[in-house]
Amino acid sequence: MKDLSEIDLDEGFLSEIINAITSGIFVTDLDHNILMINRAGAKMVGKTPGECFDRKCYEIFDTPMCRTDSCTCQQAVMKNSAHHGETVLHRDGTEVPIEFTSRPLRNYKGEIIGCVENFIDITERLEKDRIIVEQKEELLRKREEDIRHLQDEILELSTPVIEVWEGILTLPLIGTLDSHRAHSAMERVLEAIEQTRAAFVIIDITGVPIVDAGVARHILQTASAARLMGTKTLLTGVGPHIARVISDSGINLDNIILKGKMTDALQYAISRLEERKVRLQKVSNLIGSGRPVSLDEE
Amino acid sequence: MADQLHILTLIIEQQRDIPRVRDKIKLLTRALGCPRLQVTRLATAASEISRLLETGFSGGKVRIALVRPDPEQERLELEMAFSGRSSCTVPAGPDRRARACPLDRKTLLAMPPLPALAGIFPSLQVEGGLLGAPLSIRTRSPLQDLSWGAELLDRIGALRRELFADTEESYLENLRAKHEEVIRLLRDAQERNQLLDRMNSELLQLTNDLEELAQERTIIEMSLRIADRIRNPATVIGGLARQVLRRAGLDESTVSKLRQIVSQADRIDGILHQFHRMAAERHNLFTQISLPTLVREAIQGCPIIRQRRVHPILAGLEQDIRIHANRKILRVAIVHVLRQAATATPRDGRIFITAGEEGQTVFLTVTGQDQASGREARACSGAGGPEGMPGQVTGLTLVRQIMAEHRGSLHVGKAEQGCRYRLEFPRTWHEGKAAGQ
Amino acid sequence: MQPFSVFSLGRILLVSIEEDIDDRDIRTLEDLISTRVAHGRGRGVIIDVQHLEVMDSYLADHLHGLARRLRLQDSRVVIAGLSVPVVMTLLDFGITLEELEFALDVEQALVRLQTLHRSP
Repeated sequence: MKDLSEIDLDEGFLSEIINAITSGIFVTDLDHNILMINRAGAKMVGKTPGECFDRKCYEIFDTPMCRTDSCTCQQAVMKNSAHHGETVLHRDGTEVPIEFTSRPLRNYKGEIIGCVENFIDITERLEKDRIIVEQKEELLRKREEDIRHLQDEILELSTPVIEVWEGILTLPLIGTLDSHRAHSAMERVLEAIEQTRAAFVIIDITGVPIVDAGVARHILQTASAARLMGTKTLLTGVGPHIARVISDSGINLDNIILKGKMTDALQYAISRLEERKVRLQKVSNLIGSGRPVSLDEE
Repeated sequence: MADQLHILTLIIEQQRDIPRVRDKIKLLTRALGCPRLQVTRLATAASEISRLLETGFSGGKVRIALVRPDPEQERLELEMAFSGRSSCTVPAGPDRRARACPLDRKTLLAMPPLPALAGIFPSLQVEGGLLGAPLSIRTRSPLQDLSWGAELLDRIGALRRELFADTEESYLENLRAKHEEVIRLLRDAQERNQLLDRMNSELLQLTNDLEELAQERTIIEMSLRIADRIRNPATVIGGLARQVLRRAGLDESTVSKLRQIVSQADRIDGILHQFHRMAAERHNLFTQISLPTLVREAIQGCPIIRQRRVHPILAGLEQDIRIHANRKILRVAIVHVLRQAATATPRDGRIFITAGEEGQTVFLTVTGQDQASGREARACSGAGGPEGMPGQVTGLTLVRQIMAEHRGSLHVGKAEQGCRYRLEFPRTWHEGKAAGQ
Repeated sequence: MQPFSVFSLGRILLVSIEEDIDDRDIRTLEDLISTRVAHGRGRGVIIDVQHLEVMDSYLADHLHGLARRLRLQDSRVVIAGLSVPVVMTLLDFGITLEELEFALDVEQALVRLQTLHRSP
C-alpha cells in the first residue's frame, strides 16, 4: 500500500476527486470570475461546469448577498479568514437553501488572489428541523388539552353527587367553593335529582375550611333550586363557629334543614322516605283503580 | 364591519305575540344546536323582554341574526335586537303591573328583567327608553359548533321558511330585512359571483311575488304598503348596481350579473308605477254575473291546471247561479284558489269543483286531491307547505279580502281527498247583511 | 284549542299547562281554578308543567298569586314537573316562588298534598 504522499497528484486526478465530492466547490478571482467549479456545485444551480467557467459568480448563483457588502467572498478576503453562513441560491426560479464557507485563496507568494467557496444543500435538514418544531408544538398543545381535561375532572370529582340510598343524594363539599364550582355543582345536583327522582339532598360541608356569607349563599341557592323540584335539602358538618357565621349573615334558612352529623341526616331522610314510599304506593294503586282520589284517603 | 346574517324579524304588537316570540326563539336555538339550558334561557329572556316592550314601550319588534364578531375567527353569536316603538309609557288596562316610568338611566336599568339579563348575557346593550327616545335592547350569546359558510347559509334559508310567521307585518319586515342584506352586500363591494347569484335570485323572487300580486288585484291596499316600502330599497339597489358597473376591471360574468340586477330593479320600479296607477283609477264594478260561467273562465285562466294535466271534475255548474260580484276581481280570486288546489294535486290527478245554493247562501268549493294524506288544515292555507313561498300565503289573504268585499267568506279545511276551499256568497245583497263568517 | 286542561281527581284539581299559553290564557286559567276551588271542588291543586320549557316571570307571578289566594281558602297548590333548565333559569331571573309547593311529577305531588293536608 503506497503512502498518500507518494502518490503523484496530477491535475486530472485532483479534478476527479473534486468532482466526486457531493458538496459544491468553486474558486473565483477577485473580480468574481469563476475559475473552477465542480460538478456538484454547478448541478446545484442546474448547470454544468462548462457553462459556469469564466462567468461571474453572482450571475450563476444570485444569492441575496451577491453584489452587496455582505458578499461572502468579500468578507473572507477583508477579514482574511473563513466566512461561514446560510443563504439561498436560485435554480430554475426556485430557491435552494444552502450553508456555505468561504476562504481566501492565496498564491505561492502568499497574496490573496481570490476565494474558495464550499457549500451544501440544506433543504432536507431544514425540513427535518421544521418537523421537529411542529411535533413539539403538537405535544405542547396536547399537554395543555390534557391539563384542561384533568382540571374539569378534578372539578367534578371534588364536588361529586352520590346516591347513597334510593332517593337520597349526598354532596360532600371539599375545599374552597367559588361561584364557578358552586354553579357547576348545583347543575349536577339538579340533574341527579331529575335522573334518580331523589327526595333528599344532603350537603356536607365538613371539608370546607372557610365558610363565609358567600359560601352560605351558594348552598342556599342550591337548596332553593332543589326545592323547585320537590326535593328537601339537609346540611351537615356545621360546627358551632360556622353556625354563628350563618346566623349572623341573616340569610333565610327556610329551605334547608340543619343536622349536625351525616348519620343524623341519613336517619331522618330514610325514615321519611319509608313513610313516603308507603303513601306513594297507595296513591299509585288508587290512580290505577280509577277511583277518585281524596286527600283524606288512607 | 362584522359579518351578519339576518334570520327573522318578529313583530311584537299584542300579548299574543309574546308566546309567539318565545316559541320561535325556542325552535331556532334548538335547531342551531344549543344545549337545553341555553335554549330555555334565551327563550325566557326573549319572553321577558317582549313583555317589557309590549306593556311599557308600545310594542316593537325583534330582529334575530347570526353574527360573526371577528372575521378572522369562526366564532359565531346569536344576536337578538329588540326595539320598542317608543320611549316609556305608563301601562294601561287590566292586570298591568303598576309601574312609573324611569326618570334616569339608572332607574331604567333597574327595571325587571334588565338586571337579570345583565347576569345572563355576556353582551347586553340598552339604549333609549327615556326622554322620548325609543327603547332598544340588544343581546348576544355565543353559539357552539357552528361555522360560517355556504352550508350555514342554506340551513338558515331552510329555517327561515319553517319559522316564517304568516302575518302581513312580519312578511313586510322580512322583505325589508332581505333588502337591507342585499344593499349591504352591494355596499361591501364584494363582487364574488356566488353572492351576486344569491342577490339575483332574491330579487327575482321578489319581482315574481310582486307580479303575482299585481296580477291578482287591481285595488291592492296591502300591495301599496309593500310597494311604498319596497320602492326605496329597489331604487338604492338599482343605483348601487349601476355604480358598481361603472367600475373598471370587472370580469364578464360579474358584469352580466350586475346588468341582470339592474334590469330587475327597473322592472320592480315599473310594476310599482303600475300599482300606483291602478290605485288611482278605482273601479268598483259590481254586477249580476253567472257564477258557473265565471268559474269556467277561471279554469281557462289557470295554466297550472293544464301544465300539471290536472282534470277538473265539475258538479252543479250546469245550474243558473247568479251572484252580485265584481267579475274581474272575483275571477282572480277563483284562479288563485284553483292554483293552490292544483299545485297540491299530483300530476294527472283531479280537482273537484262544485257550485250550489244552500238557503240564502251560494257556495263554490274547490277540493284538491292531496298527495300527502293527513295534511293539517293549517297546511292547506299554504303556510309551511311544500312550496311555502310568501306568495302563497299572501295569495290566500288576498282571496279573503276579495271575499269580504263581496260580503262573503272563505273557509279552508280538510276533506277526505285533500284540502278544500269553500267560497260563500250571499244570494242577494240586502242592506247590512253578510253571508257566512 | 286551549293550551291548558283541568281534570278533577275527587277533591283534587289536576291542571296541565301547554307551552304556548299566552298571558290572557293564564288569567283565564287562574279565574277558572279560583272559581272551582271556591265552589268547594278542590282542596288541592296540582299544576303539571312537564311540557313547559319556558316559565317566565308573568306565569310565575300569577301562579304565586293564585297559591297565595287559595291558601286563604285552605287549599294548597303543588307545581309538578319543573325541568332542570327551567329551574336554573328561574334562579337566573331571581324568581323564587314562595307559597308554592313542588314535586317531581304528578304522583309525588299527590303524596305531597296528602302530607300537607295531614300536617299543614
